Amino acid sequence: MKERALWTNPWVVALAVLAALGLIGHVAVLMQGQKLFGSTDDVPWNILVSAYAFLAGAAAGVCFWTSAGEAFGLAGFKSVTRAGTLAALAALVAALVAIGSDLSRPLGILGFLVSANLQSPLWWMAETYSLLLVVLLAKAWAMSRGRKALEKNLAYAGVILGIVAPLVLGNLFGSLVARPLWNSWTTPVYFLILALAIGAAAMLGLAVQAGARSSLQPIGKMLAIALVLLAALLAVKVSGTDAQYSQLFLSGKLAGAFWVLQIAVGIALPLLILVTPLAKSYAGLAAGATLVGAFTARVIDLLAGQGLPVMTILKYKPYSATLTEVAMVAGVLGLAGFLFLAGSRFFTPPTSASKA
Amino acid sequence: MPRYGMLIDLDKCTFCQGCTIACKSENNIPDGMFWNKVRAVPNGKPYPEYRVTPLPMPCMHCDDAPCVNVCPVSATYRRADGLVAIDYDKCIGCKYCIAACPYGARTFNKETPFAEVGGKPGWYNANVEVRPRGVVEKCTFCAHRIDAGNPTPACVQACPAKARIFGDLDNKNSEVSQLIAARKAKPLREELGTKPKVFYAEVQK
Repeated sequence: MKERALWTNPWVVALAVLAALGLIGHVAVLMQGQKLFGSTDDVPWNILVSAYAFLAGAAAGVCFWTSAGEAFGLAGFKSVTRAGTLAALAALVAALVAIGSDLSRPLGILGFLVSANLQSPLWWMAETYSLLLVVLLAKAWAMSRGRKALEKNLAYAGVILGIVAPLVLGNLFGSLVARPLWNSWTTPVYFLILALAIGAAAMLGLAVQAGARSSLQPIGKMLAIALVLLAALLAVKVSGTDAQYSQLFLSGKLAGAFWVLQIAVGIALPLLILVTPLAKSYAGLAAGATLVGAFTARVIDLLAGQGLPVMTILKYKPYSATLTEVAMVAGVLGLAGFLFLAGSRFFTPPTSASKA
Repeated sequence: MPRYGMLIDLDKCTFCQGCTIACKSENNIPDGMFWNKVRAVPNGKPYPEYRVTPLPMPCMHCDDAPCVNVCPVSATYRRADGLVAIDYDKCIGCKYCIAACPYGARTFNKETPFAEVGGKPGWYNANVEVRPRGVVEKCTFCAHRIDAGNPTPACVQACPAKARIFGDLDNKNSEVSQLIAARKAKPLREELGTKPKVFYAEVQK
């Protein structure tokens, strides 16, 4: 049967349109500067940074699960290894576009080599995710060439990076004494658990898409465990946080998004599905709901962490996302999806997914 | 090599904002941006005991500056004389330093400064470069004056009440060191371990 042209897939078109919207926003910022952003000196990091943290977490999480599946022969994971590797790559490329778009002078990244500050958590994050990109590209190449031994060795590297990368990203926030909500040992661990949850949710979605029924139960189990750990860690984090910060999302202006999207949709609903017979029919919904909740978590964490002035006596300019920022975030999310779908045509042959 | 620091005597500060204006003028700072900010600190008591204390806040030029630690490309660095400086050519605009500063001392150039007047204000000081769009900037303790052999920041010179004293903290005989000791002056947020070099002498009762 003749394969349909890529552009006849409405999802591809929709995602390409989103990516194009993001590109328009990016060009506008290049021309006019970051006055198009709603960020302020009190809230220097905007929702593009949230999008980066989400996509980078997705890349690391999916990398972990695909690599663990290959390295340790986890049943149920192998059938979506190829798609997972491509998804991780797509997410990581989109993540790099997101964070690059937030830099006002991206050409200066040569400084990461010529004037590197090894004390900087951001430097270590850049190097770790660069290494992750190299490993993912190498894995994809090894898969396409049938180089099984190399694939397996890279899988071990992927397991390690899948854990280290989110911890390093979490430490970027957790090391800031000026930001009490983030300045805790729980922050890097939270980033890790969230990455594993996002990764498992993405894998579950890929398994549903591929019709790999035998994969749904083992992957769903891992997702359920990750969600329980996430809920427990969130409770520990909140109980150890200064009330003036936690009230921002427990009862303040972020409360609606926190309780409805992050907790109810992102944790409670997927858990309800995964631990009941509903999992057989609604695994895709559980995956999607987790991803929505996780993205919300990223936005809330970023805004709440910058939600109060660093000193109570200082005036505070709050943040409000602009249309440009929303377009750019939609753009990078669309880019990730587009790269995955378009890449699937060339990387994953249509008959490669097992349908058991 | 001196290690520069500052004492601000809150007993003398009159909230005139002379330091703020002098700083803007000396350093070609655009509209809406401030390197030195004089904050109002209420005492929390009701009228008639209500009082507001002015709190001038330049950059603290911390000896263990979080901004220096976090900058990935070493654009923010600590000079041998203790000043925390910025190499604007290296700055990539990641704003990690702004997120890291516990004193709100840093500000980001979203627009090209003075673009509407050809890039230079009417009061342009040729001794200080106008920073480009997309970099972070902050108080420099008027490093250009120190480098020219005049270790007197504009805010110190401008203060009509002589509330600001600047000098070498490593010289026990310097005026700033002696006053810090005599007035038991303390820096802000000492518990964070940033070792700020701006000390505050409290209002004497």
